[in-house]
Amino acid sequence: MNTTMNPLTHAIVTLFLIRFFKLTSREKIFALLFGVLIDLDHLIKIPLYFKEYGFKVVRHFRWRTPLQEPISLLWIIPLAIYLDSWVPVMFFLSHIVLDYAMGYPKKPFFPFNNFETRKIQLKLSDTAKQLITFLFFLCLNLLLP
Amino acid sequence: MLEFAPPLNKKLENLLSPILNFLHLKLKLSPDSISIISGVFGFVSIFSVILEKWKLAIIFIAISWLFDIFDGQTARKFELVTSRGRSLDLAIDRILEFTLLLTLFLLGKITLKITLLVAIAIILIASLKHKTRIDFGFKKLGMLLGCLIGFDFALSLVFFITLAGFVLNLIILDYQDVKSNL
Repeated sequence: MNTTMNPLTHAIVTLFLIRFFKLTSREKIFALLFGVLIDLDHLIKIPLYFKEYGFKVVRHFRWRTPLQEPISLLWIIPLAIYLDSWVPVMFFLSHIVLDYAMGYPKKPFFPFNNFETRKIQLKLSDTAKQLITFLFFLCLNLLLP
Repeated sequence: MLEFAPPLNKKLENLLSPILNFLHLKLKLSPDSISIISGVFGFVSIFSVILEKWKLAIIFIAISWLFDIFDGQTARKFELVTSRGRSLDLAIDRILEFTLLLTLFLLGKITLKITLLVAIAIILIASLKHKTRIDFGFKKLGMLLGCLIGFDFALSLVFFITLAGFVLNLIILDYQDVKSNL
C-alpha cells in the first residue's frame, strides 16, 4: 500500500542533520522550515477536500502542492543565495528524497510540465521504507555525542 | 492589475470610467497607444534616474504605472482585448523593469547579487503570470523607493514580494488543477 512519508521520519532526519552539521539558531529555523514544516502546505487543500468529500476518508487525494516538489528549487535556491545559507536547499532536498521514496503519485515539474511519477524504485513496501529510515536515523541520532 | 479578482476589477473599472472614456473616446487612444505612453513615461523615469533626479523619477514611474493600469482597463471596457496588446504590455513592463534594474546596478546603487536575484524573481513570476494573472506589481516603484528607504532594503522587498507572487502562482495553479480533476 502507498503511504505518505510520516512527519516524524522527516523530523528525525532533520534533527540528525541539524546536530551533525552543528547548525546555528538561525540555520536551525531554516532547517525546520524546509525539512519538516514545509509539509504544512497540505493544509491549503483542506477546504477543497471538505467541500468535495466532507468527513469521508478518501485515499489518493492529492494533498501535495508544488511547494514540496523539485520545481520549488526555482524559488528556494534564489532565497538561499539571498540568505547566504545552503541550509534551505539541503534540508529541502532531504525532504524531497524521503518523499520520493514513497509510492504515491507526484508531479515534480508542475505547473510547467504535467509529468507524473511514483517513486524511486526499491523492492520494499512504503511502510518498510519508513520504518527502516526512521530506525536508521534514530540510531544515528543516538550515536552523536 | 486586478484581473485575478473580477469583482474588484469591475469596481476599479467603474471608478476609472471617466478617465477611460476621456482617453479612448475623446483622445481616440487605443489600448496599445496607452501602453506605449506608459512605456515612454517609464523611460523618462529611467532617464531621471541616470541624472539622479529621484523625485522626478518616482513621479514619472507613478504616471507610467497609472497608464499601465489604464491600458488594460480600456481594452476590457471597450472590448479591445487582443493577444498582441497583452504581449506589448508584458514586453514594455519587462523591458522597463530590467532596464531600471540594470541602471541602478550601473550607477552603483545596488550589488550584482541583488540585481541578479531580482532579475530571476521577475523571470519566475513572468513565467506563470499569464496563467493566473497574479502579480503583486510594485517592482519599478519599489526599486525607485530605494532613494527614500535605502536601495538594499527596497530591492530586498521587491525580491521577496515578487518571489512570494511566484509561490502563490504555484499554489493557485495546483489548487485549480486538483479542483478540475475531482
